[in-house]
Amino acid sequence: MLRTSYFLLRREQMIHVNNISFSYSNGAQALHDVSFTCAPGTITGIIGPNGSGKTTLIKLMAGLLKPGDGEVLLDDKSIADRSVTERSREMAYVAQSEQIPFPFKAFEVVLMGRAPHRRSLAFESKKDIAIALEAMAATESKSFAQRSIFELSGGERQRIILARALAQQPKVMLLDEPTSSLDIRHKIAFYNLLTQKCRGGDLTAVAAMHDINLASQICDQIILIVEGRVAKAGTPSEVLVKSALDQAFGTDLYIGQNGAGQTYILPNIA
Amino acid sequence: MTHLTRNKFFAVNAVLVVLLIITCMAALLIGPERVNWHGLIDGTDIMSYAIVFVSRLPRIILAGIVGLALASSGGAYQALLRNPLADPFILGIAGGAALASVLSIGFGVPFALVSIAAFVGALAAMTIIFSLAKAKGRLPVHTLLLTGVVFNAFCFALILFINSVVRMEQAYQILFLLIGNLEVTSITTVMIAACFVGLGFALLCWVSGRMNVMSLGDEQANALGVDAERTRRVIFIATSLMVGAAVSVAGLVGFVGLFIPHAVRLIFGSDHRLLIPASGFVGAIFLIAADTAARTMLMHTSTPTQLPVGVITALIGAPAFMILLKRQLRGTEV
Repeated sequence: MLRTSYFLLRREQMIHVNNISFSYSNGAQALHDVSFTCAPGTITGIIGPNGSGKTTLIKLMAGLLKPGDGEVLLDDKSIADRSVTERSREMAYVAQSEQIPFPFKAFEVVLMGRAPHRRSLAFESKKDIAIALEAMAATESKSFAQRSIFELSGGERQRIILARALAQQPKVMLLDEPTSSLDIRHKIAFYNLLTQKCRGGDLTAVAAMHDINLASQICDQIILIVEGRVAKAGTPSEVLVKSALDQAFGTDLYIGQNGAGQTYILPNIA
Repeated sequence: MTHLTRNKFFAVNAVLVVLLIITCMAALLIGPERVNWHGLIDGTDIMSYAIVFVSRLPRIILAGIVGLALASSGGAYQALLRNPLADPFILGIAGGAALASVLSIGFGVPFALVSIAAFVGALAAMTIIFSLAKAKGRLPVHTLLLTGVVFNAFCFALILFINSVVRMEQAYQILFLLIGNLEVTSITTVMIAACFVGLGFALLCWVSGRMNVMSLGDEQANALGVDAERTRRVIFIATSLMVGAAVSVAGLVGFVGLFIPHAVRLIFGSDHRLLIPASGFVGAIFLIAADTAARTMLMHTSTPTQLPVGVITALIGAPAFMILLKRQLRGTEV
């Protein structure tokens, strides 16, 4: 009984991207027949050159854009069939950059992550506050909770945004370059946190990433997108091969392995 | 205490309402006309009764209503446009209401009908801008803004044209309309304005809970469960009712909608659940005070006249806004 319900819980985070195609209103085709699956409790990395469609893919998975063709399924139910409220309770979206026009306090911004779980006019409950504080502790941002977001550095703001996503307590996290402003320590801390939550069965994560080295370390699956199509998909060791990457990025890369079996990718200056 | 709690919400609003009542009462006592207070309380002096309750009180109530309408609408527009520099006249409703008023003044229409014309003009402007700015059934913010600004410009060009061809007294009326003036004619006007403003205010307060999230942008709002489109429509309708009513009775009283929300944000924080009602109350207090000043400033001079309230709001509002603008110049991007 316990094992069945555990299985059902984990099944809820299974994401199927089925034959997604998408064009922008000006006619430019961003994605063409993209398909892959994200198993529950895994971290999937979307990598690819600039303009390849990574951001569009993340937005489509979040239900913020409607695909021209194909569908995205979460727990065997299409994202498009869910209401805005339902979606917001199950999925968190972190954009590449965010403009916050008013000087909210950092804590207030994190509390906005609880909005899907309460009625719009209600005040936040003790539970909401506790969850928000916990999320800030997890992103090491509690120390500046009382400060206005206008006063924070880029990295501090990004940690607040990430805390907000965590406070949403989603089943799925869709992230678009979530650590671009963070220093290496906070990058590692965030991805450790993500890994912990996913392995613990609480979360499935999909992240568009520029940092291929980091992707090779933490992702269970990598999807390489080039010009709107899936060029390669699989485990890091399957996808991160010189031929595929060189072709995708138009570069000459050196791919090595250290003694601990970790892959590293560097420009080939030979 | 950084976030908005139930206690803070009720405490702040309660204090503001008390301040509002005190301001009303103080305004009743001040004025250039001579009032026999003993006679008033005895009930013997009808003249004093008329001055206080028929002349001053409706005007004070109207100032409160207009201040509430403009300030809370200003706050809502700033959330809607995600820009703290927005004011309630920016989206073209002002242009429509003013043009309709000026046209009716030009045709020699009695004042009561001018008000109705202004209100109709405001709603017509709302409908026109709505349909012009729509793109595939959605109301994108930048299109709304551009359409509103252009519409305003066009309306004011027409107003200037009409102003140059009308008679002297009519030009004088038009001027006062454009500056903003609280010259009450009847308690009926006040009551009707109160209904529209009350309705709009209630609607705004109802959606104020979504404005925080809405200010993060359409996509993030959607991701957090708020339909930004729908919320924008409600805000647009609510503010059109309020601003339309305000402009129809008082003309274009400037700066109230712009800097009152700023000041409230500075003191009470940016949470819109408190910002909207608090701005409303502070706006009411401010406009009552400003109108009292307008009535009495030139009282003891050699040319005792009553100033239009728009003069006072501009004289205070413009420098106040400059100060707030200086504070505003900080980065907002993550």
